Amino acid sequence: MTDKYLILIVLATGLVGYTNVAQAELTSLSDEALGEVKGEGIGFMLEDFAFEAGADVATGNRLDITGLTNSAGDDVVLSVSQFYIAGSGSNLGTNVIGNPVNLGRLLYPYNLELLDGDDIGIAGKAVFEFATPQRFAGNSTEKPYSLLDFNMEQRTESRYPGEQTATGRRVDSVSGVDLAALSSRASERADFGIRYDLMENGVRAQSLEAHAQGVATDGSFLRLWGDNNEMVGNLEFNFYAQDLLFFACDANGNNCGDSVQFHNFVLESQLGYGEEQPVTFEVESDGNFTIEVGSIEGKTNAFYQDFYANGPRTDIYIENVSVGGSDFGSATVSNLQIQYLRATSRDL
Amino acid sequence: MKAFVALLLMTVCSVYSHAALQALSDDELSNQTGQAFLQIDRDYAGSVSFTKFTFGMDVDLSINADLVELGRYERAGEAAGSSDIRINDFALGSVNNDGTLNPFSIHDPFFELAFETVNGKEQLVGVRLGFTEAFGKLSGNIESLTGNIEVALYGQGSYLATQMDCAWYDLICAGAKGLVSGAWGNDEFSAQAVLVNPNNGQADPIRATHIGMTNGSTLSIPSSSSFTNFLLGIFQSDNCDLLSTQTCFPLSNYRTLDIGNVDTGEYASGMFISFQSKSISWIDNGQGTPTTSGAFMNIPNGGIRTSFPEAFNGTERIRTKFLDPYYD
Repeated sequence: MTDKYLILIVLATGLVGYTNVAQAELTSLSDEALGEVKGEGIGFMLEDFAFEAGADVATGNRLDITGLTNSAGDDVVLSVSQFYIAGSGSNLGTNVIGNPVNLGRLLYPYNLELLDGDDIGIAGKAVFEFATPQRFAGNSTEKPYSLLDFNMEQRTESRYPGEQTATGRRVDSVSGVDLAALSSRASERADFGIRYDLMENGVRAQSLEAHAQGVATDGSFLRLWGDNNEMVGNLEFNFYAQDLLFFACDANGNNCGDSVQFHNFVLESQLGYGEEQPVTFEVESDGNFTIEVGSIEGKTNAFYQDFYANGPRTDIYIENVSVGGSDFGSATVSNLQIQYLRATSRDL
Repeated sequence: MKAFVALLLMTVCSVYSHAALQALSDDELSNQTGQAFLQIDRDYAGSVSFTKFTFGMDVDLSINADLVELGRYERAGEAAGSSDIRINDFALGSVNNDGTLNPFSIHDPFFELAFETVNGKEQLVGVRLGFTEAFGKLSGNIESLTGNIEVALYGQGSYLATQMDCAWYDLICAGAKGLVSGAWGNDEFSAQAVLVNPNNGQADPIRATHIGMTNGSTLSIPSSSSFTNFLLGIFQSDNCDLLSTQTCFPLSNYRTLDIGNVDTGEYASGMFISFQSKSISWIDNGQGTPTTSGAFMNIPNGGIRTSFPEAFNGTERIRTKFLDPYYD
């Protein structure tokens, strides 16, 4: 802490509709809390936070996104409303005000800081990092800590019937979700929701609602640095939701039906691998954009061995998928590694 | 929408950006119509309505995954612990012999919801993710598959004849074998194969482990006369057998599949994965694709072409990693 600075910002904010009511409250640090402070960058949290916007849809309290069409060229308007952030137990957004959430806390805040790239495998660079509250080890034996417990299997497969085989340990299934890895306590997991209304050819056709309950993003970070006059980065995005729900209502938002529900949804995605596999984002003059996860062509064998053993991976797990009240069990995508990805948008 | 996404991402990334801001001219501004990379369509089929969100994107990717498994739940009539879809060592794209990547290409991915009004309520009965067009190598060890995957088998009669194992007393089979190896030896035969039950030759789109010709399906020679095809039509696959030729094969034999037509470069359209609570037909280009409840994977007709030798012997898994345990 000699030449570094410490700033802790505690924001106690209650947002009601479009009005802001600040209830700032400074909280003293315990010895234990102080002991955890490293004195780097900015740590912040949002205490007693609730946000609700566009609740009064009937009077036009919504954001209309125009300029869209369907494949026949007819105008389509996508209206966004009833966006909320609240504490868990918001009952699909019906209990937002008075049900706030603490996003981060003093021991485990959100962080903005400049890192020494030498410490994280990005030599000679200053690296900007935005990080969410950290994760605990839970059942993990090594970093990055995961919420997922895996059943592994030793498997031998041939690349062609009767020909060369490959033997190795692979993921067989997910045995459970380990919430002990989250530093965010239950009261620090948010509920989110949003409503979309579709208008086609001037006729309000349908209302769709999406809700995420008990959300935590612990252990996520975005790292950015400059390389050859270009901004590059790495991203680790960890998303846990106790439930994701999607359902439809009539054009007035009434008569809502059964939902598509993802229970215990876990996404753990690492994009990019230090300088060796940077992630870039470009916007063209016409507004189209390109996201690229760099190719790993032309690397050394040592790099490839490290990449496949320890490199960035993505795991997606849903403990139960329910559609219209019917349960269809778990869904798993495990140890997905990206060797190259380039996605470019264009007009339809 | 595009501008919104771009603005959002630029806002996130601008923290460390050194890019200079440049003013847009009036002409440039007037060209910004706001038409997005997002297109929203509503469609109807019987009592079911659909809302489809299509994203104007070109995606090239090369990925490997230990496991892709959808719909792991106990299902009546199916093996305990099995899944609607389970693919090990899944990969999209490949690595060429010279160490370069051969990415898998996707045009215009989409997300779609299906609804049905029941007792005055909008019931959500299905959801699917798909690609408007796709082309490239799909690799994996397919343990089970629920879906609609039709494979176009093709190959010369001379090869097909080598697979015909006629009993000494089966004169019809012997005669047919003579035609296939002789007069039709240089003709290209074709047949449609789908997911089948290897125990009875019936179509089996749920947790299938085999692919092949269903009972009653026949071989044809597309370039030949109708009379020739009439003769071929006499011989029908029955219980995974046609003229003493095996017509059903384990899915696990096919380690790499070509999505799209490798000869013409034509992309396959309508590839998707879906969940639905009942049998519904998803619509692409005016054509419905019937599905079963649960998880479902669709590769449209003609999306996969497999030669007779590949059908009988399997298809070799292509290299998908730079250090590939299947090769190194």
